[in-house]
Amino acid sequence: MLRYAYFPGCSAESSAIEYDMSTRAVCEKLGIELVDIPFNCCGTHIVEEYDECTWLALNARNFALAEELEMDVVTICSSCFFNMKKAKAMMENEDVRAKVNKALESIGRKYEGKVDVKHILGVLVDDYGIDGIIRKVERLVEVKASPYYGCLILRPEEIVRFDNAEAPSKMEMLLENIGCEIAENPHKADCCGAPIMLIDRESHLRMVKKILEGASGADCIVTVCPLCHYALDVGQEVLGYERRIPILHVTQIVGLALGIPAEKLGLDKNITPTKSLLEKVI
Amino acid sequence: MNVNDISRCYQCGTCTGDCPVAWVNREFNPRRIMLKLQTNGHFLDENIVWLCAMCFKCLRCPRDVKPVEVFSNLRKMAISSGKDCVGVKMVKAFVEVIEEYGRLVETKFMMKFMGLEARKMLPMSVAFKMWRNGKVSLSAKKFECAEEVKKLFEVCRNA
Repeated sequence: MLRYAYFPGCSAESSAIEYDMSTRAVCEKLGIELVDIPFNCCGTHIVEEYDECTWLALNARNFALAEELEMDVVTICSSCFFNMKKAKAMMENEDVRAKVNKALESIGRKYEGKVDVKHILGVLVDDYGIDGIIRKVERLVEVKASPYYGCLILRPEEIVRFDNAEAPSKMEMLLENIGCEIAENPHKADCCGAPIMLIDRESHLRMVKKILEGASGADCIVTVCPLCHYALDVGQEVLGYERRIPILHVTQIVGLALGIPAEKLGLDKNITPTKSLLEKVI
Repeated sequence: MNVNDISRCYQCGTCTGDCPVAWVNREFNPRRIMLKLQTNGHFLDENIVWLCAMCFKCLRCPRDVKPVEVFSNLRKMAISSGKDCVGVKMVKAFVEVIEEYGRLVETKFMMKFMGLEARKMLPMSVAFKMWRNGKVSLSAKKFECAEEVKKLFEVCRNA
């Protein structure tokens, strides 16, 4: 049985509540155990740029919690995924780890460098496996789905080592096997601009519009990051975008295929209504 | 090869052709910023580096200058020297929330950074929908990790 220390990230209790709900529901259905840990914020590049020692210590604390359970960490956020991968790589250097452990000593914890960091998409596709998911499909989701990867699940390639950064295919593979037809988006690996949302809202919204336009003709866009999801889901409301397109977290669409009720997947919590999509599926 | 050595940039513009921010905002032109850095030695407008979205598309740089890392280094300098600019204000607000609560509380961060201006980020109808759908956390509870996180900040500050 697959078991992971669960790191949903800070947005799971607020803006991305339905991503957390659908992840828990999908894992329960598949028999993947998610163990909650009293995690802290990964700090993102903001804390890293503020003070590297603090940023490493924050990540080391989360890793230490997972180590105590002898489990790897799974996150649902691409930004947390990249940050944790980067911190982990830096702490493979024993001098760096020793320095960080000095800070961890003050809270009675230790990180020994044994933890691996996973993204929920990787857990579904690689660890659990497509074949296993196919066996659990209860209804085919016969819609045109457009995968949107964004940035940090793919780049920098040498840190995240997840998929082909130029031509990713993990989401396509997953979606095709639950019944979807793939609607290609030329901007599927471009940035939604979420990190500059509070600095330059106009540019951010223009970036969002490009991605939405790239997926025109699809019944939904599928995301793997709460920030990308917020950008596209809330962004089209803010823009007053005329061709509304439902934005689904990857676990929401997989959950539909597994026969999980829409409310349990939080499909009523998305800001852009998902009704048009649900009518095609259910 | 010395990574991030700006003098290596030969102005091919690969970074700018790949940059999704440059596509929508002419003010943010990584190639031109590298040229300015080459000629001026140090940075001119500290606001510009906060427009980088950290998407890492410019890693295709054939000269290994990697503008994304150059911008990150410039932000670090602005933060440590306490520059009076919007980016540093954002970082301070973010860090204060993490230090106090242990996790990012989105509403606290927005209010700390933007004050009442935060209202203008979302049209009322969208903000209401967010609240109705349970996506706005208004609670002021500290997370279980808060004490340990505070301690880590303290220890690293004095290291």
